[in-house]
Amino acid sequence: MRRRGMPGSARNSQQKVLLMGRCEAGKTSMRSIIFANYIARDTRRLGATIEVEQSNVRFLDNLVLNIWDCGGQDAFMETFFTTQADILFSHVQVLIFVFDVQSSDVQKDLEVFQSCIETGILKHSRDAKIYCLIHKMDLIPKAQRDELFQARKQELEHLSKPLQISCFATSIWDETLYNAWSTIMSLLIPNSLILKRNLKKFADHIDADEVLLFEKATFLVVAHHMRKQHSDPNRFEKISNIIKQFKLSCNKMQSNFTSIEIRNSSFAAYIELFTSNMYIMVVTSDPAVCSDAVKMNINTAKQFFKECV
Amino acid sequence: MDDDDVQIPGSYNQCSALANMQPHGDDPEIDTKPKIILMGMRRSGKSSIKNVVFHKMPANETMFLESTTKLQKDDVSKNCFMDYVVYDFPGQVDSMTDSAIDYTNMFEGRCALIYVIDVLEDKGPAVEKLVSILSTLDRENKLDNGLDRRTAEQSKHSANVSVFVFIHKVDGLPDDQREEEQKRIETSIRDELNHAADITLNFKTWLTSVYEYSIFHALSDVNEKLIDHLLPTFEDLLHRLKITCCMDTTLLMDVSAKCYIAKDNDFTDHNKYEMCCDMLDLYTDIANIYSHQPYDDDSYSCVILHQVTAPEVMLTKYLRNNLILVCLLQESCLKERGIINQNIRKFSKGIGKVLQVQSEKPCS
Repeated sequence: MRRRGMPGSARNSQQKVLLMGRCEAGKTSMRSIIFANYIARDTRRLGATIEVEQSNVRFLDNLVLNIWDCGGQDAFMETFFTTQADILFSHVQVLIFVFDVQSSDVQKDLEVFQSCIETGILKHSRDAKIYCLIHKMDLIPKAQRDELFQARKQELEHLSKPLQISCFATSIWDETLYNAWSTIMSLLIPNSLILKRNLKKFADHIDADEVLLFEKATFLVVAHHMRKQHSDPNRFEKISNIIKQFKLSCNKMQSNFTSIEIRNSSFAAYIELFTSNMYIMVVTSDPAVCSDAVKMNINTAKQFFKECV
Repeated sequence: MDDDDVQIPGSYNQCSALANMQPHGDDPEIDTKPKIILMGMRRSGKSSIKNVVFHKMPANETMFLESTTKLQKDDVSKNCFMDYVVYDFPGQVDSMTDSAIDYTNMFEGRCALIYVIDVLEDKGPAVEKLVSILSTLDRENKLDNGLDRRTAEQSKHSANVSVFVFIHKVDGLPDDQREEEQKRIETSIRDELNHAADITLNFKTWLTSVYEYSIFHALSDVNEKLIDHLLPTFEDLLHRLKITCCMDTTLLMDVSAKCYIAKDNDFTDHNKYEMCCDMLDLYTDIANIYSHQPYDDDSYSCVILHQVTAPEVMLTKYLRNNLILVCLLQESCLKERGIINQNIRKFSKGIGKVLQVQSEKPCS
C-alpha cells in the first residue's frame, strides 16, 4: 500500500538524541518517566548510569528516537570529550543537557557544558538542536524560581554562542517535564505541519474549542489547535501529566482506557483512541454540540488521519 | 455474565428502601457533629493524614508541615460530604490530663478515635500512651466495644467512641514485613490493655501511608462507623440501583476526600476502589482547567476500559453535597443508557430524601 505524504518526508526518520549532564542531574529519571512508564516515586530506585545506555524508542508512526543516555560521572565524561568524542557526537540531531538546579558545583557544570559544546557539538554536529533543562526546580521555593531560571538561562546562552539554545525549567513532580519534552518532540516529527493543518480543519468542522493530539505511549502533545482563548497557557502539559498518571494506574490493573468523556455544565471533553499511536482530545463549551455527534465525527476523522500520517 | 446480557435494566423504585429507614432525631445528645479525633506521638503523621485526606494536600508536601503545637479543630464539611469536626492533637500532649485542653464534651456524641503509630519508630511509648488514653475513656464508659451496628442499639449512647489504630508510614516498610508488624503491634496493644488496665476492647488496625490509597481505605472504614445510622439505607438504595441496571458495582464517594461513603452489599474489590479514586482525580483536574467550578449538577464522566476480560465502563454522576455516585458496568449495558440515566435520577432523589430526613431536627 502506497503511503501518501509530503514529498521528501522520511519514511522512517531516525533521530539521534544525546542526553547529557553531570552525575545525578536526573537524566535517567526523566527518560524513565517519559518513555518507560515510571512514576516519579519509582525513580528513587534508579542507579547511576554506566557509560552510555542506548535505547530506541518509536514515536508515532515514522519517527525512531535513538536515545544515548550518557552517564554523568566525571570519569565517563572525560572519555566522552576525548577518545569517544567521534562516536558520541557525530550525527546528533538533538542534544539535551540537564542541570541540577541545586548542584554543589555550578562552575563545574558550566565548564562541562562548555566542553560539550566546543569539543563535541561544534566539531561534529553543528546543526544539532540544543536544549538545556534546569532540573529539580521543585526543590526551589516558588517565589525564587523564575529569577533563578532567568539567571541560569542567560549564562548558558552566553556560553553557547554562536549556537542557539532553548532552556526549560523542569521537575519530575509536575507538568513542566511534559512541557519541555513535548516541545522537543513536536519539533522532531517529520510531518507536523500536515498534522496541524488537518487538525485545524477538523476543529473548525466540528465547532470545537480546542483539539489536541497526543502520542499514545508517552502522552506528549504532538499537535494542537485552539479556536477559543484560554487563561492557562500551561494547560497542555498539565493535561499530558494528568492523563498519563491515569493511564499508568489503569495499567496496574492490566487495563487501558479507550474512551473518556468528562462533562459539567460549562464544558465537555472527549478523549478517544484515535489511530494506532495517537489519542485525540476534543473540548467543547457550546451546549448545542451534542455528545454523540462529537463521537461520531471523531470516528469518521480517524480514517482520514490514519492515511495522512 | 450471560445473565446480564439477557436482562434489561428495569425501572428503579426507591420507595421501599426509604420505608425501612431508621428515623433519626430521637436523640437529643447527638446534635453536635460526629468527630474524628487524631492522637499519637509527636511526628507520627496526624496532621499529614488530616491534610492529605480532607484538604487535598499532595503527599510529598506533607514533609514541610510544621509540628502541631495547639489542638486544631477543623470542620471539614465545607468541601466534603463527610460532615465532621476533625480534632488534631499536638503530639507532645502526654495524657488526657493536660490542663491546656478542654476535654469536656470532646468525647460526646459519635466519635472515632484514630491513634496514629509511626511504624518506623519505637512502638513502646506509643502503645503506653494509647493504653493510658483508653483507660481514661473506659473509666467514663465511653468505649464502643465494636459490636455490630445492627445489634448495638442499646449501647449507642454511653459507649460512643470507636477506636482505630493506624499503623502509619508503611510505605517505608517492605511488603513482606507489613502483616507481621501489624500483628505484632495489635498483640502488644491487647496485652498492655489487659495487663495494665484490665480492658478487653475490639479495635481495628489499619496499615496506612499518605503515599498510598490505604489511608483513604482506612478513613472510609472510620466513616462507615460514624454514619452507621444512615448506612443500611444507602447500601439498600445502591444495591437496588445495581440490580435494576445490571451493574457490577455501585459506590457512593466523597468527591473531596475520595473516601467511599457507602458501597453495595457485594463490593469487595479494593483495586476497583483505587481506580475510582484515580477517576475522580482525573475528573477534578481536567474540570479545574476548563471550568471555574469542577462539580455542579451536570457533572458526569464515563471511562471505557479495555482489559483482559470484557470491556468495562466507569460512570460517575455528581449527586449533591459533595457526594458522587460511581458505577462500574459492562459496556453492553450502555445500550440502555436512557433507562440507566432515568434510574440514576430516581436514585439521586432517593438520596436527597434520606439527607433531608437526616437534617431535620427533632421537634422541641
